[in-house]
Amino acid sequence: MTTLHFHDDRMHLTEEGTALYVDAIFFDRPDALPEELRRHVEGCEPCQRRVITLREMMKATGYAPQRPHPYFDRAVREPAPMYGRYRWTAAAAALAVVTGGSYLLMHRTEPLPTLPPVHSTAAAPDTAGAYAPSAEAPLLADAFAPLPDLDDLVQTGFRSGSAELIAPRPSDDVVPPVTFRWTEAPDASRMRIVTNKGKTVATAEVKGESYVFRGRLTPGLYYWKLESAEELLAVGKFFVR
Amino acid sequence: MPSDPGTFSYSALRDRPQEFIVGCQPFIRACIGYYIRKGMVRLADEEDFAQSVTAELIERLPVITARFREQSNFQPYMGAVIHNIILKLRRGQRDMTEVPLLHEAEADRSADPSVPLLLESEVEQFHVIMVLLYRERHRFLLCAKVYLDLEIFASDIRRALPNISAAAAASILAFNEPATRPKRLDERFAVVADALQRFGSHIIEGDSLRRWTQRNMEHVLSLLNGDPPLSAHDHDTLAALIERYTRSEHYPQ
Repeated sequence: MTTLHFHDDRMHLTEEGTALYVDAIFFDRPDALPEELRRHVEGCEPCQRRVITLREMMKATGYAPQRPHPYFDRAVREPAPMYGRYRWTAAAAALAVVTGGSYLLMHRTEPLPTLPPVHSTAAAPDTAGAYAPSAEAPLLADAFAPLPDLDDLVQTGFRSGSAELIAPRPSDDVVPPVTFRWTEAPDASRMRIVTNKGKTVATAEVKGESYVFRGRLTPGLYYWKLESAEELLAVGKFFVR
Repeated sequence: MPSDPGTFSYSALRDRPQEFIVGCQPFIRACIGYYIRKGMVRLADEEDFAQSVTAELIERLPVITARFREQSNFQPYMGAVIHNIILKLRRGQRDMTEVPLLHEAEADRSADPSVPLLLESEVEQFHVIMVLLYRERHRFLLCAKVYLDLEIFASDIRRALPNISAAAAASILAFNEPATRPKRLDERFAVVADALQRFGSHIIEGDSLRRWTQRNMEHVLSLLNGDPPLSAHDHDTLAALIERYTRSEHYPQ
């Protein structure tokens, strides 16, 4: 089941997403919420306040959630089997299509059209650090989907780590040039910018507590990794719109 | 007066919008009543505000109808819609925040703020915040107990660090014994940070963990007090809330 309508392209809760979260609290079923929703809300204060306020308001209006709930009580539907004479009718029709198609192919007088070559979807970054998608551009929403492995490590208000990332914050939209700032990381020596597919699009040697990235980035979700010579210190994320 | 479920429904919104607008009036009033009690809408403006909300709702009907995918209950969805409309209308007005109308039990508490009288609703509110914190809530509760010098349960440690060894857990439980616990707060956080590194895959120093705990306590207090702030929770009431919460049905041992 798609969950795209529960959040916008920055993963903030939509009105229906907020309603779903509130229902999950009323039913004591937060475990049944889509994982990506929970992971976003745990680090997003505005979405937290939306849920808190809506829950309070619904309680004040005397709301009593009804069962079955369209999401929490949905049944997983198996494809319906075909019974009786309709099964045979469908099979006969399929056989006719295959037989007829084969006959036509064998008796063609014109050559078959050549299929277009498959394009590679890998995009190599140019030397200026700009990242550009391939000619077969993926869906825009795909560029904003989180990468679970890195999203887990992202520093939000509730992430622990020796290094503290100051900017950009995980919910920020940025326009290059981007200034990255951090503190409590005296060993930081390198920074990487990574797409939501895990591809490194920029690497820089850093000193001190800030770095300015002046390259070009196409719209999407990016992660930035702060590293010492030996280990990963912290992970942040930001959006380019 | 409750809304009529026949006219306050998605099918009414989609197929009979005029009936829907009439049918949702009780719900709109109830929502506005909530904001009046919070002091965000003046009681004297209730009627005008209801009309403004209705007018805005009518204008947004096509979008509201199209966006609802019937994956949540309809009433909280409309609650979220009306909440956003009210926020928009408030932004367009001058600041009109009034002293909020207190419920009787809240009035008792405000009369003697030195007594951390906790309403069940506040424990419930704290539970909601813990649900929202999701993966961080167990670590937050353990660290907040260390910071606030509250009794630590074995279940607090188990929830925050499921793989912790018995010896490491015992070193944290020793905080409960005045004779054996580390004297200074930074020493106690060093013990917890060491456990997090060894059993929780978190690379963190004790001092950073203390600062993390402070930041997140302030965040939880901010959520408890509301925006605009209507409560005045502080570390003392937070301590009382955590103690009550970790002994409640929301936190099975």
